[in-house]
Amino acid sequence: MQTTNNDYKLAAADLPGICSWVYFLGLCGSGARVVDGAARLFFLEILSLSEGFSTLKDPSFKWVISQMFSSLNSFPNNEEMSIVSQYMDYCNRTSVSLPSTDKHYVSGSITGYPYVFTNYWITYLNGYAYCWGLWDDPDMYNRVIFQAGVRLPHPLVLQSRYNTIAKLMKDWNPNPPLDYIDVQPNTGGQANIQPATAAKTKLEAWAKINSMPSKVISSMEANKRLKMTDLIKSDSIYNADVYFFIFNWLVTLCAGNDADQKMALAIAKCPSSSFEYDNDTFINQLLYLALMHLGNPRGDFRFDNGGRQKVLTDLFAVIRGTDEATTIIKNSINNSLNRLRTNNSYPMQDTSNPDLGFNIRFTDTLAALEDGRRAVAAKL
Amino acid sequence: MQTTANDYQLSPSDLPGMRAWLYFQNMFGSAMPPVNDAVHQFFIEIVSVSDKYALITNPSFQWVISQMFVTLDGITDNREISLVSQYMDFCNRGSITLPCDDQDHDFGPKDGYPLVFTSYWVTFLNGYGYRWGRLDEGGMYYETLFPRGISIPIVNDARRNAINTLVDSWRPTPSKAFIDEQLTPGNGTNKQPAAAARKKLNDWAATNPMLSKVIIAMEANQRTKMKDLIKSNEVYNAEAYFFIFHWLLCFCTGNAGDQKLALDLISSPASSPEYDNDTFINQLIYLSLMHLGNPNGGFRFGNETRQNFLRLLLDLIKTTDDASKIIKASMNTNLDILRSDNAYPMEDMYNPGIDLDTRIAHTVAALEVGRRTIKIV
Repeated sequence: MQTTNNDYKLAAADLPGICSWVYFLGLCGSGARVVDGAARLFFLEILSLSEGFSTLKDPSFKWVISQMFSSLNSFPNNEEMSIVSQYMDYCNRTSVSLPSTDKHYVSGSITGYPYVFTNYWITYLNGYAYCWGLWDDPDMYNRVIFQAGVRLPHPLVLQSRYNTIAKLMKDWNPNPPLDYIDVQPNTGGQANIQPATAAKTKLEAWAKINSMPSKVISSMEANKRLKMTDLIKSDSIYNADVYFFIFNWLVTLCAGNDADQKMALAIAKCPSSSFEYDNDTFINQLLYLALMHLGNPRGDFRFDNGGRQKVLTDLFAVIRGTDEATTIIKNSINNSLNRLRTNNSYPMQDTSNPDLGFNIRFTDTLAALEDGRRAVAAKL
Repeated sequence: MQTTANDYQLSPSDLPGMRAWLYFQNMFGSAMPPVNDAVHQFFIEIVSVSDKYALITNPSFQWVISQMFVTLDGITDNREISLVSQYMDFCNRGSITLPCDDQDHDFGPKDGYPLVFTSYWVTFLNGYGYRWGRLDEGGMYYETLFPRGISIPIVNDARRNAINTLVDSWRPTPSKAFIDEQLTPGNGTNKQPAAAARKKLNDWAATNPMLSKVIIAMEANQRTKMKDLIKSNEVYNAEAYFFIFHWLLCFCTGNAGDQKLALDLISSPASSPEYDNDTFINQLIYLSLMHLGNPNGGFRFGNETRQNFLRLLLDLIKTTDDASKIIKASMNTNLDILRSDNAYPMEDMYNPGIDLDTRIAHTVAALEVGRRTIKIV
């Protein structure tokens, strides 16, 4: 595994991307235990994930996500199946209707959309729309619009895969291979069900043969686990940057398999005592340090109380797990949020330790985490 | 130099006036790059300084500003040219048009405005306006207004009275040597009096080095005051140091010698039990913020207001000398702490358990020592 000098230093710009990663893992990680429609969900969510990736700067998070895309890209026909999956979703939510041909009605085009319906596939690629009204009305004020459904993953995450999908989209316009896509030239009634069902059959068959997405997820989670093990076991002396990174990585670890969750639990629950918070846990010290790090007026974030709360609420909103480690982490986040809400200066000032200066508490907490980490490392 | 008992006491109402003064100095101070059309701009900006001057109660700032107006008033034709400059701006704003007087239209007076057009000059002095409309539209619901353009600075009574007397003697007919009154309205008729005023202003500026004379004299006063402040044997309190902080910001727009003195002062060592091995400027801003937030003081500003206080000043400082850079860096550091810690500096995250009064006393003592280490020539 490659690491770099900046491997464990998160910037404010990284935080939205990390939230989208946590959200993805909450839906598609082994801990989510989704079986039905897992491949469909996976292909759907990696599109948003790739957008979040584009704002990430941290090499470790970029590495684990881009490795997942590389792993996906090693499966035959993954690009085609990405399109099939999108098309299935599109057909499931779109029932195309044509304008009335009755002599009492008139219809016309809407700028930016084709006026002629060709089939569901073309509508998925280009959209389709018309305006209409009673012929004796002063204007055709009713508008019926079927937006295009095609989405491409952000090129930054894996340029070659983006290029392949973009080329496929081009090659399949207007005629896709029939073994992948049922174009469905008819409209009305349940016409959309047929291409959606065909796509689902195709996708599920492919997923079954290729053990998708569990194979890709397992491979990604192995990388994640490896990184966490490295982090905990390292002989390096960590600063607040690294522990803030560990906090975020720990949240993502909980979305993994049973072994990951067990490791996360061992880390979160590990005893960690500081002068300020005796007999406390690693996760509580970790959050305390993370908030001091985020608010440190001499640090890189310099978040005010609102900014500190937002980091926690944004993250909390995307954590979906219900395992014991996640529950403990969420409780600790909630406790910290309560303190932030009741004390605008927290943790720059700490009402539980009113006589201890910020720098001392910062150093004490770092030391407590270093001790805690080594205790966990001994058990891993 | 006259000083008074309240010379160094600032109140909340002083701050907007001080900012207007700082803005002015960051345009015209010796350290600033030349201003395009400087004399014209000067006559515009002294009106703003004068408007805000009315809010200033601090005698020292009143003194340095009013002295500048005294210097200005000693320069030949400064009052006339001040009016010429304003008249030029007025004419440049646009042409004056009369109401349509045909059978389809009606027009009438508008309260507060003369209904009869006399000349551009009289309009500059009194304004001109009317209501009008089409007869078949049932009312004069349009208004065409030309508000008056004259604004006489209030700072120096003698100068203000003299300009008022001058204006009275030029009403309705001004001196042709200074003003083209322009009796004809209509499209494009504003250009001729504006061009004449421009020429008069430029000719005067070319022969009277007014700006440098006024600024150099003002900066000499500022320098004297700063040296007095540093050398004084008085024991200063937080109010005096809050005053010094503001005086220092203005001082950085002065000449190279002023900037050197400012740099010496802000860099001088100033150690307190809370902040050992620190500098004068860091202690000065720390004390200023404690002074602003002190619940028993005259300001009692909340955290947001303390932040805003620093931000407004930072926006005005355009100087790039070493002293200004250090001052700005210290202000920014304090802004970061204010953002992170709502209680700062009423409580100090780096010095818990030491109450506000003690820290104020320590910081004042550190500044007193720092101030006395400066060697003034």
